Amino acid sequence: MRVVIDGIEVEAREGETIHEAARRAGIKIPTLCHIPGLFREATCRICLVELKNGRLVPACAFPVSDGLEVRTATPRVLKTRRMVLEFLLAAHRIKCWSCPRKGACLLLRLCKELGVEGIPVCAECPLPEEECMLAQGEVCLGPITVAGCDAACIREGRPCTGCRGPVTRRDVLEEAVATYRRHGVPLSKVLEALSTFCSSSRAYEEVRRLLGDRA
Amino acid sequence: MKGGLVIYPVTRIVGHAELRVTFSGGVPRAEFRVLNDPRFFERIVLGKDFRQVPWIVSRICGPCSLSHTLCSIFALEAAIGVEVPEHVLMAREAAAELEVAENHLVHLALLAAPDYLGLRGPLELARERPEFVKRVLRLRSALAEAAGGLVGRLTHPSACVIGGFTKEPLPERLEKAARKLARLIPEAEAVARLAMELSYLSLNVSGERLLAVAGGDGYSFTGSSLLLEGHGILKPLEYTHVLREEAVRHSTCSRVTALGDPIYVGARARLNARGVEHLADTARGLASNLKLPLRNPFDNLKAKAIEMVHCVERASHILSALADEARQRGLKLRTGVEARAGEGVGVKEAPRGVLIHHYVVGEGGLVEHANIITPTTINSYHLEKASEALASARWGTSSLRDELARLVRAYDPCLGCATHAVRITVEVV
Repeated sequence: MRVVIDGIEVEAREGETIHEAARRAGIKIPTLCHIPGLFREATCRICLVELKNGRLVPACAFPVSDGLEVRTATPRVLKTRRMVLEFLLAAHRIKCWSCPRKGACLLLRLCKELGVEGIPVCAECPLPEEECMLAQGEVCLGPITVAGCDAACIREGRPCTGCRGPVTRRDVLEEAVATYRRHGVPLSKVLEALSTFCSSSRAYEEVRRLLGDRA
Repeated sequence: MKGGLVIYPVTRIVGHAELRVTFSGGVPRAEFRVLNDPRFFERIVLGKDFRQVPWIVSRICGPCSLSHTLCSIFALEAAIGVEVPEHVLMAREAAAELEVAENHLVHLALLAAPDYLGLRGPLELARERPEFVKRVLRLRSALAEAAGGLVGRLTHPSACVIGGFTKEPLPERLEKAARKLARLIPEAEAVARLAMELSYLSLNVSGERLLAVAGGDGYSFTGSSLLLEGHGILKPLEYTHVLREEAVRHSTCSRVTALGDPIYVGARARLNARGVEHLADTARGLASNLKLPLRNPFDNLKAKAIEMVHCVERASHILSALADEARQRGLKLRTGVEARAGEGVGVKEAPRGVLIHHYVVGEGGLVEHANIITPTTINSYHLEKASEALASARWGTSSLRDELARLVRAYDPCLGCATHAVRITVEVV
């Protein structure tokens, strides 16, 4: 049978999902919960695609049928994926420094693709937890700075100075505050470091309020 | 002669600018208007810890962020009295040369060359001569990668700090970079030959004074003092006695003069000041037909071509010398830094000419005063004088507009750096 994905005609097999057919045609659809051969519950919804009739369906679970027309990157699909990612992040406890997926974070990859912020630089940090800059007494802004630079400064042996701006989500900041406390870094020092690049932004005020509450 | 013409925007330059030439009573008057907004960096660093400054001023410029980083480091090291080990100086010089080569390459090949090949810009150049543009881009990424091995990355170099470097490059990596650069010399030479063979207009700016950094080893881009033509050697702190900086109404860039005369900084000034004898071999070969001093502003392009080859060659030598040192004695690339009050001026040859950073650090290490003079700030008055000379000579010809735009590009102005002064007039009613 034939299906049309993003305008490309794809030969598909009976019983296949949209995701499988697209993959064979070289069209990438992001997935998180889908693990081929193991798990196809379609719970994360990051793989949503749009059918011709306007329905949004999960590509990893929706079976193909002859003549099916699918779009994988319409503005509506991207907007919905962004919203789905934000929901996932809201339920995701940020503990990047001890996360086994540190350095290979799928959420961060999606954040970069979809332009969503919410993951701090720690997710990209090359240092193992015991060599963390904070443990060495440095004031590193990694825990509160938006990821995406591949932790360039930490790779060169200097702490993060927050040039990409702070993550403003309250739960991320709260985790960061707990981390700074654990390492005995005074929050006043953190604010001082933050003033290098963000002293006039609204984000800075928000961080100051949140950190200030706990100083 | 009367009337005027306006070139807006001047294309293929780094930033936004307008050139306005008017004639009244047979006297030409040129205004080079920098249209980038003022950036207030000299205010931003006030009250900050001095260690933060290099990291902040790096953001003044994308293409030459390494120059701003290093120059502020020189100034602050002078202010607080830090002496860095010799290896640090070598590594900084090599990184500075790679930055110069990268900047010159992009400017010559992609921004300036289309003017003289009858093409409208780099995109048309890529269509007409795809192999040439590919070679340029390959060379550019190789240079950026080699610099990255030393300073972390070429734009906003994360490994450069006051006192040296945050990490030590491995000898194998240095050797590999040195070998790779050595292999690139013929590529750089091919691009340079093209720039040397183009035909340029001839022009002369009367009363110009060339300014370059003096000191350092051979034809280098870091040094300890300034050399002003017709005046002599200036210690860095003495720049305030001789250079005069004033705000002008028509531009966000201030006007800098030396004893009332227009100053020229850049590759042409460096080549005149340093001479050809200290150039690396291939570059010296390229320069063999040049007659110094070069007085034509368009000759800046030739000087840039020569410097580009020199930089690739010399950086390769320095990197392999560093690799040898690393194997034999181990590198010393960091020295301790303590906060102390003081005043210091750093001078450096940025790709576009002399860069000056001046800081006063107070008790507790907080910055109390900052002044930054960039090459384009210095050159903008010279550019106005050159535009007036060119307009007088060629007024009424149909090609004048094109020639003026070429003239601006020959200076390779970088306007984001140059914004400095605003005149704020408060009228009380």
